[in-house]
Amino acid sequence: MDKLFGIMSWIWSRFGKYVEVFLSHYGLPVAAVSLAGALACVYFWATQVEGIVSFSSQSLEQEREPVAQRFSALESQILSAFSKPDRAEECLKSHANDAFEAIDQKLDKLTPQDAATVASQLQVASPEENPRSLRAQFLTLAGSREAGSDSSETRNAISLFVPAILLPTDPAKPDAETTALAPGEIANVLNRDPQLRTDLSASLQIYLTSRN
Amino acid sequence: MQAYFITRTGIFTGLLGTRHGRTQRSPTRIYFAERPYFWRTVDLQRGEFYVTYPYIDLLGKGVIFSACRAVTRPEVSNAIICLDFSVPNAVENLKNRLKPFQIAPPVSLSCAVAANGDVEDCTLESNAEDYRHIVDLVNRNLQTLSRNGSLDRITGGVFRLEGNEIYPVPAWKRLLTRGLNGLGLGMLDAEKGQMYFTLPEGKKADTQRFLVYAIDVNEPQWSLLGYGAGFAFCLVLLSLSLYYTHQARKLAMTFVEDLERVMGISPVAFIPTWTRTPTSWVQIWHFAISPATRKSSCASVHFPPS
Repeated sequence: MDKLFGIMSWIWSRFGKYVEVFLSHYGLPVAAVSLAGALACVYFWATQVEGIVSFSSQSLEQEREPVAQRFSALESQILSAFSKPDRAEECLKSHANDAFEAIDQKLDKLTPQDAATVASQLQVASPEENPRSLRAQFLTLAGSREAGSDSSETRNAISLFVPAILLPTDPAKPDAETTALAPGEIANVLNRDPQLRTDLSASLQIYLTSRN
Repeated sequence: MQAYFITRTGIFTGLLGTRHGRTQRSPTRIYFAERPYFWRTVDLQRGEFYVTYPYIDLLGKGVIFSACRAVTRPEVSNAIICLDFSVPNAVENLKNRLKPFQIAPPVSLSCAVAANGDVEDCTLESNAEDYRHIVDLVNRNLQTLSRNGSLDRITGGVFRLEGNEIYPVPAWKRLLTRGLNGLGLGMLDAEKGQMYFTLPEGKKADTQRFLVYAIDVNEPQWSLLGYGAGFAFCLVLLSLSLYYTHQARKLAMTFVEDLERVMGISPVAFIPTWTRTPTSWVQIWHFAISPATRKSSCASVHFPPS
């Protein structure tokens, strides 16, 4: 601190006389400019503080879909610029209900399929080339792009997707939860969970009819 | 628009919009039924819709909101069907959102991200300025994610770019940060404060668009510090100006009072003359105080000198 005062004293002793002469002659205009500058600084300071406070308050106040993210605070901050669409529910009731009713009607005709039939429409896929773990696998439609069998432009990326970690493993095999699933095991897996099989039948029925 | 069917058993089925808007492969560990809109929709009455708050689409469409309706069928487990809608003017809102923190305005990039996980180099949407270093940084990160099979991390939300600092931190900022930290004001280190991250802006076929942000989390503090210093400087200058103006006026008034006093006691002639010095003109006042010239000098005073 003493050093700082020493530097300030030196600067003043060196340039103070010029400042004194200048301000003696032009004191009032300089005072007016300084006053304006001080007021401008206060204004910008207050604006900045208001901006920061409003950022914080918006983050605290704004609801958002709590989707787990690594930078969730940053995402909340970004998404707090958007609000929930007004009167969307009423608009959807009057315009989109027909589309949903059509799907309900399709499901009314749902006929549960056996495990082999459902399995024949599915395949095990993975983002890795030779997955060794179940965690890197998922079930998807047979012939879709994930398996590297992309031969048709109409075959899409994700049409049906079930993470393999949700599939029921063989209780007799202790390492089944970590070992990768072989392609031929899908039917066995589906046999262990009738609810999953029914849901897959429903999904396939909705998907195939909506595609057509 | 995209629509999808989600069940409690973990099935995600894309229904519409996948043919022309191919989706990036989904991560293998996401259980969509854990999403907050799932159970809220299931709890609604038949025919009711649940509309979500805007969120960032996991499949790269940018900021969207979903309208969901439950599927009620005894054989099927709890299930919902959702429609996704884009948020209008989302990009403009996104560009302005973090203005107080920005080092530079956000840059829009287009990147070829195929559904099978292949990526190609990104290109700038506009060539107004040279953002080559940002493009390179995004390309490096995309290549790494593609190799690791985790592209969904960048297409499905905020992704912090790993790499060297693009905008170098000035030396004075580093020093000042250390100084302020030394005083216990608790600012993040200048280097750590800088962040580069991407946000999915939207996608069309295999082209994924990103907004790339360069922010400094310390930026508002720097602004406050700058305005505070500016205010202090202006205040000191104002005080000095008023002080010296007052002093000058006081001196002038003293001089006038002294002169009046002198003239009251002994009125004398005085003739101002102007003399040039090396730096300025100086006014010199000659007082004739000899008794011989006292009477005539009063009548011959001229100012300024003719």
